[in-house]
Amino acid sequence: MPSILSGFDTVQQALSAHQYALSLTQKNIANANNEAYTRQTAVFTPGNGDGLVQAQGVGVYMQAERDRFIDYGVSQELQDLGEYDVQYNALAQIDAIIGQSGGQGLDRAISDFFNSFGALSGAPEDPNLRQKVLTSAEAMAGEFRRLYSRIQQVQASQDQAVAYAVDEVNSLTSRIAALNEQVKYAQAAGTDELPTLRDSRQQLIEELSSLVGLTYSEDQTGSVTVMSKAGVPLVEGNDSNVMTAVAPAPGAFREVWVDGTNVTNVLQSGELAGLVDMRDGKIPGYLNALNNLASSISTTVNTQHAAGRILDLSANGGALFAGTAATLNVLISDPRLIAAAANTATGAGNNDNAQALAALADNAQLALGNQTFTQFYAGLTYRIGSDEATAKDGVTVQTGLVNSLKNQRASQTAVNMDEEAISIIKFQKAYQASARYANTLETLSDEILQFLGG
Amino acid sequence: MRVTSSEVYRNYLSNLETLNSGLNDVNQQLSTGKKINDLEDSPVGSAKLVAIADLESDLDTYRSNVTSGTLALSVADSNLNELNSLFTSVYTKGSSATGDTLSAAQRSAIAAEIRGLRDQMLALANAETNGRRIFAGSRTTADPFVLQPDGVTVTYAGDADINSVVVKEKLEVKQGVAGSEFLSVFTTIHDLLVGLDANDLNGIKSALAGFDASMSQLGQARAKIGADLAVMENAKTNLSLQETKLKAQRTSIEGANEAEVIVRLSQMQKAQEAAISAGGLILKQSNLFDILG
Repeated sequence: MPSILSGFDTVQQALSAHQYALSLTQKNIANANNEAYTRQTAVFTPGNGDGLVQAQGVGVYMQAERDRFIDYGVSQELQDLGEYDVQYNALAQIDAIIGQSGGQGLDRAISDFFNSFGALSGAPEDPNLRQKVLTSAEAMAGEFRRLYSRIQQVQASQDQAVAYAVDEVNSLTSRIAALNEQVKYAQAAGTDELPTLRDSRQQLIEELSSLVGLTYSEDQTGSVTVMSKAGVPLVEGNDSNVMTAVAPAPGAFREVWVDGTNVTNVLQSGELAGLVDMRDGKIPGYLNALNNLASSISTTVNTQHAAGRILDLSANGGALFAGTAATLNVLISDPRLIAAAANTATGAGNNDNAQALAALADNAQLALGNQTFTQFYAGLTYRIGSDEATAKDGVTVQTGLVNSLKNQRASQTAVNMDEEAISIIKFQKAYQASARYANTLETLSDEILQFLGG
Repeated sequence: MRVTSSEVYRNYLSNLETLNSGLNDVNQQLSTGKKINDLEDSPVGSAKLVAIADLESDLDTYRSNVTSGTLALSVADSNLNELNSLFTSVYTKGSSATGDTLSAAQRSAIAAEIRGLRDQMLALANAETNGRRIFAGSRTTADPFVLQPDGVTVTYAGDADINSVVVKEKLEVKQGVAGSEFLSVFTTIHDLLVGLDANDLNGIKSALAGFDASMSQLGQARAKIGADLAVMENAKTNLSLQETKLKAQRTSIEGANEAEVIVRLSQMQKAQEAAISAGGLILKQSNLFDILG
């Protein structure tokens, strides 16, 4: 039969238990706005639970469970979000470089150039019209060079971003490895820090997921192994593999290596994969298209120009253009050297070659897939616009997915202030009740002592 | 389901972002008047706009060719008209020299008058616009009709190569006629002057007999120019139609329907205001702590 003195023990346990519960509530309130935090609930057990307070009275232990399934889902969706995000940023820049759609950019310059020959055909001897041809040629060449150079700059910035992302990856993986160690100890010792450590580690894993495609799993000791989707381990136990981003030769782009493996092309998702795809896939495609277009224009114009006679009919026309899209320049600066007349012309007023040069714009070019120059350029803008729209939609959809998962998670593990307020009242009242009981016990034992002492 | 404040804030923020981004798009449409402002607004539309811009640029060339061509043809037309009147006057004067009673001196006087008329005709035949001789074929940098030192022979130094210009897709129009087509006018005058100078009545009469043929040649040249002018005129009208059509196509692809945009703008503004004030209420919402005090 429990004695009065043992009653004090029970009271003491109750007070401790409720004090502990109150401390959990206070922790929850303090972390109410911490997105990474899993709320910690006090679970009361009768007597000998495996809680922190073991006795015949009351025990309490702390529970803070993450939903691992949702956590994993968030991590996966963040990877695709990261990839679409960086792609959309780069494509929006390229969109701005290409210029306003429909008639202000390179397509305008190309049209104006060929139309300058059309205007020249009205009066081939006119020095102003001849100069206009040279000016439009310069403008078109300049626009090619500008576009090429600016898009190359975007490409270079993707490369730079790869280096920054890799730095961030390394910082995150080393911190995850360190946390693995701490989680292992906390789990073995059963300390209160365990949920907080897990929360921090999960937050780091989510940041890492934005950056690089990965899978992860937790073993029984509580340590998480993070594998890159390329099949190379990033974190194992308290070890992290350092990722490097180094150019194999001066002037080349950076390669991403982990654990002795070149993973540049197999990153699969995450910001790094998005950056590499832009840098090595999409942008070179656009640059190639510009080169093909410039080369096609240059070749056909030079050939037709050489088939005509210059102003004084003394020689055939020389090459008008040289170089690729990056270096395109106009070789002729003297307007009299434009070959507007036909080879067989008998007078300088003949405009046959000017007409032929103007008509080049309407010809389907074999080298451009049987498209005219303008059709080919329209195809390029379509490609860029459609890539951009795809990336933008990807960002929208993925953001929605991530938010939805986070909301689901929050409904289970986030803090609700009303709940905590009620918990405080509950625990406070119980604490007060136990304290009052202690009072009663004290009064009773006083009486007994008086009884005994006299 | 348990709703926590983090979910509430997250949803509120995400909704506001969506509304703001939508408002931004609508504002941009209103200020540019276009519904395609970036390539990604409509990749297909953007590509079509490139094609339209190309056609618009072609129309610019056609327009400038129509202008320069019409000018050249008009000058040619009016010059040939005047040439025709002067030639008729030469014939009249020449005819007046066939009278039996005229003296050599009188015939000489008539020859001088005819020389004067012929010189005016030469000026008309050597006319230029924008620095190009319009009746010289492709040899436009020098006078096509050259009066030889003997004072009566006129030779043609141009060629028969007339430029054509494109005024419509696949339609070329010649910019004039070559002087060689009415050179016989000056040849006939040469014959007449030779006869007058030599006081040779038979020579004069046979020269006058050749006027008909020359007149008809001149008439044919004038007819050609008239026909080309008519084609130019048609092309000009057609150009306006084309431009209107292209503008309509362009508007249909990229033009924002102003009324629709304004309505959407006010809808979205209202939605944004409602979301913000609802959010304000949510943010202000007290929890138990405020009430328990």
